[in-house]
Amino acid sequence: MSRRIRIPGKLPSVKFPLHYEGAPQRRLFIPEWYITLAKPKEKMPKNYVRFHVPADMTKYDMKEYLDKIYNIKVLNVRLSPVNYVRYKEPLPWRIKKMSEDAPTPYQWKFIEPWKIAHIFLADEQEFEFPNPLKNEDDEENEMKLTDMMEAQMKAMKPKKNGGDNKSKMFLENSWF
Amino acid sequence: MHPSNLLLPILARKCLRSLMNSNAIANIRPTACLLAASNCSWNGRQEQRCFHTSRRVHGLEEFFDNPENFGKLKIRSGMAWSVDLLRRKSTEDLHKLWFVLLKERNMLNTLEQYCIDEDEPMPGPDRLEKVAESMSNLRDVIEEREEAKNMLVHGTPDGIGGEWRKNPLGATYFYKYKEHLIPEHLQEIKRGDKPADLAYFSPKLEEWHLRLEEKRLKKRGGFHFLLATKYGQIRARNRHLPKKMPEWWKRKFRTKWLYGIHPQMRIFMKHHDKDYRINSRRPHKY
Repeated sequence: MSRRIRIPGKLPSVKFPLHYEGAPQRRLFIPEWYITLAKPKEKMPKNYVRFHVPADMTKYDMKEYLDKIYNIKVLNVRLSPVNYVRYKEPLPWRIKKMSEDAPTPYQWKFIEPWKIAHIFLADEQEFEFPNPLKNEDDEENEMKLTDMMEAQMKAMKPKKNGGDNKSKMFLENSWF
Repeated sequence: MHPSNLLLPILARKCLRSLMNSNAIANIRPTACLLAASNCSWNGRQEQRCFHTSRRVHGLEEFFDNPENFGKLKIRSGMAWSVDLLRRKSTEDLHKLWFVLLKERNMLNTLEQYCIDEDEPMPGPDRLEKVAESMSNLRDVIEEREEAKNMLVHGTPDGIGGEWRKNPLGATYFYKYKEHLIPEHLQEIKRGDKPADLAYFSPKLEEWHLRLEEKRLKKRGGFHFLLATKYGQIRARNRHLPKKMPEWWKRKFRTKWLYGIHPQMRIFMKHHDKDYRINSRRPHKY
């Protein structure tokens, strides 16, 4: 059974009315869930897609999201939560100590959690993560790069005008 | 199976290219809907006219920008949607716009994450702020409309009714109706919300209430006694006054019930009482 992560003040951000038999389907008029597609560093099957997903979402939410909004058919969804950790925040300015042996007053706090969704696409679909920072028509740029390299090589060559000795001295400096 | 179903989900570069050139698959980025002043890389679409406001593009291509924008260092974008502009749209249009903005936001999030991973600057980071701002404005407009509708229909902005109730201790509070496990139209045994007077009862509470009432009556009785003595003193000085206290004089000592209590009003004020006269002037002090 999938459960929504609960943090008293913040999560879950959407509270649905209680369900009864014969109730209409749950609907969200304005879903406030934003997803990021992540590129995994390891090698994964071609079927595989990875999302970073808010902590509110469940498997079924994820499936409906992709189905209805993006029209992506999905074989399997697995969610793993991240940063669902509680820690003590010390509040030494609070004067609540009864004795010297009592511990310093503290407050329980949560780091902001989120989830990673591991998704396998259905119907033998494949996905290859493209490079959004690289243009396909880069042949001209490559030529330019080689031209730049040649120009640099020419500049590195020693000149025959005056000032040769100085440059030689600088280059042959034994300090470096 | 239709051959286009096989082509669409596969994100090979050559396929995308051919699809972009053909008219079968629409332009992926309907930028004119998104932002007020659109990008210029959209001129080819103006020739076509379609009945639908948006075309569905299938697949994970929507998580990435127009391939023509790949590799650019600067991307120009227009202003965000303001509240004034959004108020002119119908709720249907706003609903559609929300999903357009949602997809754009997802695309920008993926781009941001990729840039963070590769340690490179993101092209056009102001787009995220603009999209977020327009989305929040959209939500505000829809909330405004819903609250207005609820106020007209129910009288409350939530649409959840309520009533004034009394505590077991006698204090008043506003009770908002809560959600029942089984809704009212399906309940066989009606267990309504019992008001607090009946729901919580004990003999100790009753005794407490009676004692409090007794105290109140004593105070009230004492108040009238003081008024009567004062009137008696005044009448002693002015014999023409009636025996019964006039109403207009009683009203002077009336207090306003605020925050559940009557303020303690002083009836005998020594430095004023000696000068209390009716239809006569104060004798001049020599």
